[in-house]
Amino acid sequence: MIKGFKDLLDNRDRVNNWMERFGVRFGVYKHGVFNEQLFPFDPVARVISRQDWQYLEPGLRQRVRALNMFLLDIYHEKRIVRDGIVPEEFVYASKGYMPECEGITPQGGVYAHIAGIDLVEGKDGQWYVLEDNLRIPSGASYPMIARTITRKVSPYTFATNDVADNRDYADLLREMMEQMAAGRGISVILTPGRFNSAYFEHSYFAEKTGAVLAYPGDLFVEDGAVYYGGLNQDEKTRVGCIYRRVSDEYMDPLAFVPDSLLGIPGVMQVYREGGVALINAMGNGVADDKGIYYFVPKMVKYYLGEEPILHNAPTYLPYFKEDYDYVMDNLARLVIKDVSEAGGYGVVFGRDLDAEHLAELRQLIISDPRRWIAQEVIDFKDLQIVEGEELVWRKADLRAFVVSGQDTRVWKSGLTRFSRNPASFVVNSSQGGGFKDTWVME
Amino acid sequence: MTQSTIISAANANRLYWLGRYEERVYTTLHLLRKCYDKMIDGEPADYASFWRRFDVDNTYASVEEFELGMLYDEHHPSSVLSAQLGALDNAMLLRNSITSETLSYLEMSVARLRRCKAERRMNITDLQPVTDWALAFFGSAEQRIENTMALDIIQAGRITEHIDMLLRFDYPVERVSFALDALQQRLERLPELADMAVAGQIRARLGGGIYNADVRNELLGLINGVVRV
Repeated sequence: MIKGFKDLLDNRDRVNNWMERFGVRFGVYKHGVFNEQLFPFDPVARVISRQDWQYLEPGLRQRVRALNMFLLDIYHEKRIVRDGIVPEEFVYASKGYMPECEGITPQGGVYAHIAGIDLVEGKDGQWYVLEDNLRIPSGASYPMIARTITRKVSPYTFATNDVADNRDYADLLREMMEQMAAGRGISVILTPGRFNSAYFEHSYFAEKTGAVLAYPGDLFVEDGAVYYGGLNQDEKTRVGCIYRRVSDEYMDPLAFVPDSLLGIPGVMQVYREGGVALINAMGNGVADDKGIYYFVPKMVKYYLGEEPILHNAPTYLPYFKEDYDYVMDNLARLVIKDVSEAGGYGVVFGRDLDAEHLAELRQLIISDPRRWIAQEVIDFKDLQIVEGEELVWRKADLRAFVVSGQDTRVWKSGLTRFSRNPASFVVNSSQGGGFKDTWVME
Repeated sequence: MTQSTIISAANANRLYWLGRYEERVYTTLHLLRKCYDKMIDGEPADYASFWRRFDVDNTYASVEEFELGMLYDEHHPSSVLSAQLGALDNAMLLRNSITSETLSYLEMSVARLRRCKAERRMNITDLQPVTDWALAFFGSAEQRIENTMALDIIQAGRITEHIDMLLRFDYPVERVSFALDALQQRLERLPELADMAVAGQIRARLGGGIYNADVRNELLGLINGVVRV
């Protein structure tokens, strides 16, 4: 364990008291019932060496630049499909592809303003990307506030370690939102409300960026622009940029789900005409589809003419005959993912299934190969966490955040999530996992 | 970043009720301390008269049940914990307006009340921190909330609730009148929300110097109509 950590460990009750004081919670719906709980925090930070960061940072920037170029291409020229790099079935059959976004060019051509890239570190020290999250990636607020608290509780720990300060994430967001608002009006964060699982994050970002926190009903469209309404009917202020934490399909009842109460009627038309920036852009789901993930290294080569720096986990698409045969022969030792699921759902480890369930899964893949991807189980590094009075080893991943406005910047930190179950690889908070701060060493 | 000072109608409602609920927490604890003191020398049944001040029937069969219920019964709108949760529910939706530091006093109060509830603590001094944090909350709001209109709405809610409680517990007219002065000062800065005619009616009714049960009930109705959110 690195120097200074003992002081933080000895003070972990103080840390937890401050977490409670600041209401660091997340919500989970289980059987239709909303439960809110403190997000379990482990004081032993993940430490990323300077050397590793010098590898990760350009790799992440490269990957997100390519993904942004892919989105611009898909909703305009579709060169990558025409050139046979990505099969069209993977684009147009994706649940995340939105024909309504065809021809729309967001401010500055940026689609994924905030990208959450999930990685794991293998036992051999090799980093692998597991997933790209380009719609509404959440989680940066937790290491932000954890750092604020741990620095307060244990100054000694930080005085004895040269850790990059991660409390600048709100500045990254604010600057990017200002660039996207382009002087048209204020920036707002649109939240579905208190009973969203990441509501803490929405309200915390609003506070720290100075953006207005808007609820459904606060925003309206008038004369080709979006406004935030005041107390009187004639009191309103123009909105230039909406960092929306509402899913695509609920953003505009006039364009998508007609009975959505979360969105802004008519916003899609304003967006199409360039009257407001939406962060992230609409239609990004086509690029973070688990099926498209397979093609990201190819995108890097295609759009940037560069060798991809970051590696995908070895992945197979049953859509391709060669991969199909491999998956059928090795189903019991692969991890199978449903491309239409997220949040740790739809992930099945073949080794956990009995013969009957394995046969069922095999049939599902045979009947709809496009719906599934298979990956080798990465033997990734365990991290130490505190359990009771002991330090134990658990699986953990890293969500890195990349913010793109006029340029693409990687946040020098990230959300490290860990499984509290010693037998589990699933680290999602919705599945009972906890989180750690992520230290990038200077 | 381009900032907006506009307050939405929904947020105005939340700010007002935040002020009211938090004042209800503070005043209820204050009155409970007085009630407990009175019960030392009086009859155990004195608690029933306290309960009736809230216009609800006494549903508790013993002093112990009354004490626990008045403090922690989440299903009873007049309990301290209910009011505290009401304050927190509104404050959580206003974090960016009131700041995390201001909100933190309410988070701590709810956590304290829940722990005391779990341990069935009836000693009112165990809840002194909740009183202290209520005052810290209002102090933090004064210091940290930059939007003066938002602060005025919270204070209008706070004073409205204060007057409501003064009336329910038959405080002297002078006390009510003094609080009404403070409310009117706030309302003059909130023309969009204030019904000054109603405030004037209250003033006129107080002019008589005393109020009986009928007048009190009329005043309770009026005070709840002064601020329109």
